[in-house]
Amino acid sequence: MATERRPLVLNMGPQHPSTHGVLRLVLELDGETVLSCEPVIGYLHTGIEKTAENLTYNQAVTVIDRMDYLSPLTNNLAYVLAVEKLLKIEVPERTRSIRVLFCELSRMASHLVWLGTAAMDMGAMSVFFYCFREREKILDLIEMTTGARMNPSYFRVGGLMADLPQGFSEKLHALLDEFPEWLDNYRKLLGTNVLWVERLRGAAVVSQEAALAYGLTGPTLRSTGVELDLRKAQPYSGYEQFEFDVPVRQNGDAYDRYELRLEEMVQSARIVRQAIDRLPDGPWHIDDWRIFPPDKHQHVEKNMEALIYHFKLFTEGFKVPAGEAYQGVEGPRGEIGCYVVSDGSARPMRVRARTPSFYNLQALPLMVKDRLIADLITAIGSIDIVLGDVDR
Amino acid sequence: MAADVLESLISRFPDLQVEEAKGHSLMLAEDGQQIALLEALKAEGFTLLVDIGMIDHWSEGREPRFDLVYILRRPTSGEAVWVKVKVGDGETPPTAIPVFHGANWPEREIYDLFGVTFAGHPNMERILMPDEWEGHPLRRDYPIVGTMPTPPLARE
Repeated sequence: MATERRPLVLNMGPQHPSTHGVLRLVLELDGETVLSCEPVIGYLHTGIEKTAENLTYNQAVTVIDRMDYLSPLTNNLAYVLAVEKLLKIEVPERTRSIRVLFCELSRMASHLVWLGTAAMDMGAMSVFFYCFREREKILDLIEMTTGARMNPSYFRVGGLMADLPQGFSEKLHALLDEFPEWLDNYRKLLGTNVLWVERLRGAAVVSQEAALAYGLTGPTLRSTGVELDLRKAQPYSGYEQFEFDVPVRQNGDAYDRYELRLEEMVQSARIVRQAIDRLPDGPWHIDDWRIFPPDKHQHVEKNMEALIYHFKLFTEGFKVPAGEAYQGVEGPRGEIGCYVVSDGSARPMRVRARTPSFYNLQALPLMVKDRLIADLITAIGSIDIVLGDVDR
Repeated sequence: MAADVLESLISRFPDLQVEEAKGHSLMLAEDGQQIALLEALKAEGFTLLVDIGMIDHWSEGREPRFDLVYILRRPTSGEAVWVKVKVGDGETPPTAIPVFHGANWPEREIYDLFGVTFAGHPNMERILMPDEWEGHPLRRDYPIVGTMPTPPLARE
């Protein structure tokens, strides 16, 4: 009896462990070959943009945190810089350096999660444990400063939540001294592993032209030979004062992205070391009680005027002149942008978040067409999506 | 933006208003011109599509109520340019997919959250909200509190 050959439609997700969250893919398969792949997203949509419209400017920081929950501080930076642009204020040197320091620590932590989970997708279990052990050391530093491991809402409009705590510098230096050894371990575990290298090389390829038209950014774009890093190209928050390189690769495949992210961690560590060694003394927030609350012990408890400002700030918030501002920052996954529109009141009229994972995920069908289903797993791992970042 | 690039653009689009802001140039396009303008900008080297976003000015009582904003970047220098078009409620701006493939999802998102449909889009369906959702949540006149009953946990 002759049988008709028909493609098999398979639902992958939304709860497949290797989809890094709640991503659903509708696959059309011929045997093990992917004929087409359609991502279905929205399972983690929480309406962050709508929620932010109904909060005061400083309250909105806490929801912006929760988009890309693996590097919340980078989200914070895009948002506070956009609001500061509208307010036309400049934060002190020390604030800018501390912000850079924490963004780079976040990038290292985020890349460690990526490395661990991507390796686990390929069946390399042990890398995951090492990466998470070491990521926890970075999160310890963030917790020590902000009080929270994740979603710390540390950056505020006009400054920070608090200054660096005592003993921070020593702990950070200890971590930075250890760091090259961690990387050595990963390179030994993965870089010399034939299975890892063979599965990544030539998988999930995207051309330079397609990468640009699809709006890919970050390591996924830089793996196709485009040297675009906003920290270098359009410096913000004082990045122009730091020495670092932007690694670039040419093949646009998963292996290039793996190498890029390891190299980026080295560069991040370089920036962190410069930031902590050259950290200027001085204020860590702007001196304007209308925007940044006066210090509790120094002013609020002694000065009626300060108490009034404090009260007004926490009940009404501060008003932002009407206008619109966009700030893009280079996050671990690519350009995180915040487009803030103000109508002159104390709440944003619109907060548009341009999230890198949303655009990067859109190119997934392109990377996996006519490839094996095993390459699909590699591709999902290699573009490093965070579903909170995709769905917002 | 470099003066020669700007000049050639203005000669092709005489109605174009251009403002230079810190970090980007802003172009206010006439309705219906934006796709040709995006194409021209792409040819001038702005090949990276950064974002397509929408702003609802309903609370200010403005007509037409929406702003459609395209952000492009020059990958060699990181220089950004915004293209802004005013869109009224019920209008259907043309899709940008022929110029930038990546416009597919952001345009679907705008349809989903603002209810503006794009003419010529191959798959104008909801992307973030459930398919059976009523209303478009990011419109300024959409309430912050939910109006729909919680969906049942399992289908019968």
